[in-house]
Amino acid sequence: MDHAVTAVDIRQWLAAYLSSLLEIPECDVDTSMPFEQFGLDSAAAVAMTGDLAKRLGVELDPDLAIRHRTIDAVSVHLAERMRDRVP
Amino acid sequence: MPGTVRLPGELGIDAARFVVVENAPLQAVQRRYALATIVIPFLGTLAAFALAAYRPVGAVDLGLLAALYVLTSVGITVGFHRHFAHRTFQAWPALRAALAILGSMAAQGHLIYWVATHRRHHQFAERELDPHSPTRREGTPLGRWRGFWHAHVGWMLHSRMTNTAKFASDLIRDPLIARMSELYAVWVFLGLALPAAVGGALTASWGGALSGLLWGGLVRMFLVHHMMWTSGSTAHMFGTRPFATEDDSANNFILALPNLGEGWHNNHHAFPYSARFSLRWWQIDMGGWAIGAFETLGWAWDVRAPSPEAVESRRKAAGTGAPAAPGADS
Repeated sequence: MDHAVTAVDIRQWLAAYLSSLLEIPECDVDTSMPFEQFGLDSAAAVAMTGDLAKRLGVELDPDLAIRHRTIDAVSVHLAERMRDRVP
Repeated sequence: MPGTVRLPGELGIDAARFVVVENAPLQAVQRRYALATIVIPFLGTLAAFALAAYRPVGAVDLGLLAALYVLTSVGITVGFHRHFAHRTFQAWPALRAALAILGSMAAQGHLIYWVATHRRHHQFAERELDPHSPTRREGTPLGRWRGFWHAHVGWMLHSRMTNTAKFASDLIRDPLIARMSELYAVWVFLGLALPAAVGGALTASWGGALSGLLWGGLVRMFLVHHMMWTSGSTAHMFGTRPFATEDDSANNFILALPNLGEGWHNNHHAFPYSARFSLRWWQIDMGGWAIGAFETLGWAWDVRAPSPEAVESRRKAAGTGAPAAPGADS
């Protein structure tokens, strides 16, 4: 990404990702809903985290989306972490 | 567009990518478990025969082997396969839970992963993304036999992981089933501890407990594994094909006996929504009989099966790909 990554960027990317993976309209992706309620188990959450890491070009803990259980929680946590790293 | 489904390409992701998971560490862990699942029951079976030289195999051992063979095979074919993967009938939560536990005791992987991989097999049968096709090694020396081995056990060590969210999100969203699937290790342990405890109690000896563990636990697991895995290997290579399907699935009378009806594999690929794999009176399908019994007891309902007309219209005329006249036999 060509600018500092914000929570909004990450939230949009994850919403698009779930829309595409689960074949549901993007407007039906509730970013405050736990991943397991979308139908992601721990293996699928780890796989999604791997894809996000690739997209952002950073290393992420594989269990990130298991500890932070919603799109909102993951986006806020990650954006804070990335802002701290890149001043 | 917020109102539309996003395509993987828009995210810079290959569409096939969502079918399988590209995650090396996760894949490595899974393959280690798969190897243990294949090898441990085999070693247990060798140990059972070695022990038999010192301690005669008793009626308790054989009884435990037979009882758990049938129960866990019902868990796989009726539970994992016909109910959870293909939703061929509805059932009370208590029966669903029992089938989930019995199927897990067969040690063929987490329920949700098993279902996801099986649905992927039907969607891509004999094509690139099929997790276990015997055609995978075609064109290599001994390709037919290497393909057999791949479709039987090798695929668990070589195929890419199935994306559970893509194929089984309905089950992951079901709290009862998600919980049953998470507790997989507990059910596998139960499948070993139960015959050990019963064998020990009935013979009042530690030798009986060990023998129960081996015959009711590991030998039984070994036999159920390989009888069920013939669905991927033998049943996609050898047998009769009364129905034209887009894969190599075939019917085997002999296999259908020990795997409780799974041997009617061409029937199954032609009518995957059918709870009964038997489409002729002489096609023995004990899994289908079990579903009939559950239905009679009122524990299962909405049991799906194709109409006789639907079956006849799909049936090939002998030696051709064309539909036969109604009433023609295969």
